[in-house]
Amino acid sequence: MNPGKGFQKVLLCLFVSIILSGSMTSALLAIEPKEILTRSLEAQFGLDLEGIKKTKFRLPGRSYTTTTRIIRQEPDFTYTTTLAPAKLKRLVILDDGKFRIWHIRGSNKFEFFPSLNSPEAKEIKRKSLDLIFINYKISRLLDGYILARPVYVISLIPKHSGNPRRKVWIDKKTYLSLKEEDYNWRGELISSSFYTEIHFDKRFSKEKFYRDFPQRPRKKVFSQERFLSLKNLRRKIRFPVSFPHYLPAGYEFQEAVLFSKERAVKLTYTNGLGVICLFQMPPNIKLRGHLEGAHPLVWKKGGRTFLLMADISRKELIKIKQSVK
Amino acid sequence: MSCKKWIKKLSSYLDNEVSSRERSRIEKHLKSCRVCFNQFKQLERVHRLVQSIQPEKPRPGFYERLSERLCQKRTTLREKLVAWRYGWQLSFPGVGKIAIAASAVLLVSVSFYIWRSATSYEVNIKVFEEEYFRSQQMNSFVGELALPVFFEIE
Repeated sequence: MNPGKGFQKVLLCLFVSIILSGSMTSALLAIEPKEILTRSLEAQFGLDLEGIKKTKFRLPGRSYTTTTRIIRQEPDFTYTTTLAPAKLKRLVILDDGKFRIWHIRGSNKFEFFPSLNSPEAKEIKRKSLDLIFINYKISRLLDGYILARPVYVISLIPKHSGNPRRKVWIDKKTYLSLKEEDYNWRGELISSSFYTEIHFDKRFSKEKFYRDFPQRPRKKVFSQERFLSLKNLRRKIRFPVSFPHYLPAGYEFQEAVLFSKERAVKLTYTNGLGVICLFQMPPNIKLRGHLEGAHPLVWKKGGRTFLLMADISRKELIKIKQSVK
Repeated sequence: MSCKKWIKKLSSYLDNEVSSRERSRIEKHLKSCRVCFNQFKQLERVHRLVQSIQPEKPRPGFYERLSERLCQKRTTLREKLVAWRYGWQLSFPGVGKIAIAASAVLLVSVSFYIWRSATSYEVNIKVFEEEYFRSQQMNSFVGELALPVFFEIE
């Protein structure tokens, strides 16, 4: 036996085992894209930050760009001011975990919405994420950099054709989504939002943000009532409501909103990313205006007006319309 | 009886508004009491003076005008309410009042319902588009997508 050859074999085995163990370790340490998305959802509520974000919308016949300054303070406080366009500079959005308050600075105008940081909203987001895991193929693309910060790049491709898709850039350290791109069912980019500046661990006194408000609003009666189950909606509602008996693959009921002022109802269905909204209005409500480029389905049945909006094919929209009973 | 009480009766005595028995008692006291007698004399002088004054005659038609103005006197809201309440109390028994009140409430409610149903509202279709985007926002990973902002731009 040649001792040189034996030594070479030992060296080769050692080399192979090092390579194998290295790849196994990295495979073990590699974080699953699903886990990244889950952590990202939680991350929004656990960070103190100040950032500038640019959002671009491309809708049929329209496109807009807005620049906003965002301040987040854990656990559930968000303060947003618009920097551009100039027309919107007076707009302030404050979310304190209970209400989402829109205010035009220098005026007494307030608009109240349910908080996007409320437990109910978080529950909806969690359910949407579960649906994404079912209805989307989630893959991790090559890592990249956003604002010199290493990021995971996650792609969400629908398992059923004719649905929107998304690409997300998630900060490796904080799991905050630094960039998002949304594509419609045809594969066209419809919106993208990304931070152009971000500073973490910045603490602010929350009281400072209420200074923009002439009086700190304490209470508000919502003109909307939300129901997370159809059972609760049926119990509350005192006029006939129709439901779609056909939905594209993967879609499930998300929530119902009752507008007490107009006695209108919004039923929302989602597959995690895409949304189908069916509005129903009593006979005394007439629709005014039109949507440039967008083609929602509007029809009348039994005196009531129906409006169907979704980012899906026209064929599917018609199928849903025909199933509404 | 004290002098104070006798003095109080002097004015009525001068106006012949006391009984004959009372009259004799007062006269008896005046003879015996110097203070009351002096007081009586002063009063008697004033009484005589007042009676000597010739009363001013009102201008012609004064009483007619006064009567007319009294008829025209406006009743206050309080007086009206008191009068209405008095009439209400007299007119109906307890059960009848409840029935009338319930009917009034029912009538107002039904009128409101009919008015609300008959009134048609015009709603801009963009309100629903905004609601649609709000639902989309719920599915975003980014809480501050601020999608509905662009409606303000328009």
